[in-house]
Amino acid sequence: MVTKTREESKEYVLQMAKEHDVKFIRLWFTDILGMLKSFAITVEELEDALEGGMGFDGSSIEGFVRIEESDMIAMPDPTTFTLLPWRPKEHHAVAKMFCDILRPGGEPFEGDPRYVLNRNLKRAADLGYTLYVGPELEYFYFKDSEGTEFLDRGGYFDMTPLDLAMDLRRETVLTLEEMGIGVEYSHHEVAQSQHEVDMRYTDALTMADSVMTYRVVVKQIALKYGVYATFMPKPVIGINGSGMHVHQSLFKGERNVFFAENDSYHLSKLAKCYIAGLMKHAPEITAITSQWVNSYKRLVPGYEAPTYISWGTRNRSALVRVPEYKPGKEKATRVEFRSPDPACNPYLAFSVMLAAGLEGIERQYELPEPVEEDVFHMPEAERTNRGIGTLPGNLIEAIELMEGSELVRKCLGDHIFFSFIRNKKAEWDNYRTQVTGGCISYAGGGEEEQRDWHPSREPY
Amino acid sequence: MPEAERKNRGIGTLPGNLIEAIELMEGSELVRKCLGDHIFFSFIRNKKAEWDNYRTQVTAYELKRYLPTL
Repeated sequence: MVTKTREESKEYVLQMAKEHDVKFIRLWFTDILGMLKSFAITVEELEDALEGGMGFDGSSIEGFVRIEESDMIAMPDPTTFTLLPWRPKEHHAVAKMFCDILRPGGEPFEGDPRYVLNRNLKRAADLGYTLYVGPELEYFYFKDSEGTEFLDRGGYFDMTPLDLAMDLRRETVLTLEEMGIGVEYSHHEVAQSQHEVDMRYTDALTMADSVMTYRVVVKQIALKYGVYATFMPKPVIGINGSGMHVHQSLFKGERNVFFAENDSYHLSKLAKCYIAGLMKHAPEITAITSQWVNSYKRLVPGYEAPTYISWGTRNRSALVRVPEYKPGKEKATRVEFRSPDPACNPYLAFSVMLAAGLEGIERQYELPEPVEEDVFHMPEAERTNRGIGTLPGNLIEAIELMEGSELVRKCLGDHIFFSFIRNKKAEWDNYRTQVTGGCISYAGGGEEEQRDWHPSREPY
Repeated sequence: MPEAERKNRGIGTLPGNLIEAIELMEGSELVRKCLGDHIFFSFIRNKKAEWDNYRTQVTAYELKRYLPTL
């Protein structure tokens, strides 16, 4: 049956390409850091590419392969075929497909993040579960990529205060929908110039692809209007950073197995074990869900980003939040994991969250009591008493926790596990030597910085 | 002097940054008795806040490195 679907999809792709006068097809895939890679083929190659994939040199792609084994095959997934709406549409249109990366012999390449997610989803499928996710990616618009000048406050853009960002969001939503990505709502976020467009939840593989597409679309539309969009986790000190809260639930067929009628939180035993798994393994998966030096500037108290490991229903300082149940909405019962940021690799991030949750289910972890108070303002002693742990405080701590984790190693496979750690240690070293090399230069500077912290305002 | 020799001769090191120093102080009965609980705990709280503030600054290096790529 699966083969038939693939055959049908191929036919559909060829037919669509013809109908829309497609000339170029971009083949998209992702490196281990979640950077989108792409090369284009012409429509004349399309049928062959669908049949046997396209060869490429993988040696210069981060985390892929050594030079002597550089030949790789990008095998397009025909179900991901869409036009690129921002390219010419009338004549010589451009389309894209996501690819699986294969070795020359045709076996899956273990350095391909999409393969890692597929492998983890298979593990869930073997237990009868389908993972559904709904991520909320926040981002900033700035005047350009050189600095952090807001669009909707002061300076150059005074002439068009709010309208521009609204037009940007509107066009972003329309473009996503043209590409087959459902959007639930979009809004201005808490911080100046910060925005969010929420996609309607789907199965995890579709959503990981959609996250990649979303990042391209947001940036592309910004570019079209002459501004810059960024998913950098914490570009500006003193205001909220950009997060990617990930709503997740497990289904068996049509049934949401996180839902339970008679529980006070409407959570099944299974859901509680899943949350407990996320909480217990949160420290060791954080390197994947918050993968940059800068990610840890976001995970600080006071800016709606979690730093402590707790769960609750209304608590915005919690790591895991359970949105309140609305009668008749069994399918919407879900847990929201709040630490990831939108600059993560979505394939790997969904993989480690699922692995943590499944571990909780398989080992029947006990869910701790919820915490509904603001954890940010809880005295340290009380946090300790109530067993509320903390997330790693910087990238190197996170990497060291990951390094010791059997769960993450099994989830990612040795290839990505070790490449990732090597890459991130280098990133940390680079940062450390830059910043402690004697010339610390803060981005904010001047007034902002002084307002931000002064020793005399601390408790004495 | 090589690290091994320092170790052999029992030459210890001072804490390498503020947070290490504070954590060492936090475990010290001597300092606590010397300063009294009021100053001891206020001082630790204040210095942890200072460290957190330092730790969470977004540096020009980060903006240069991440802003154009993420």
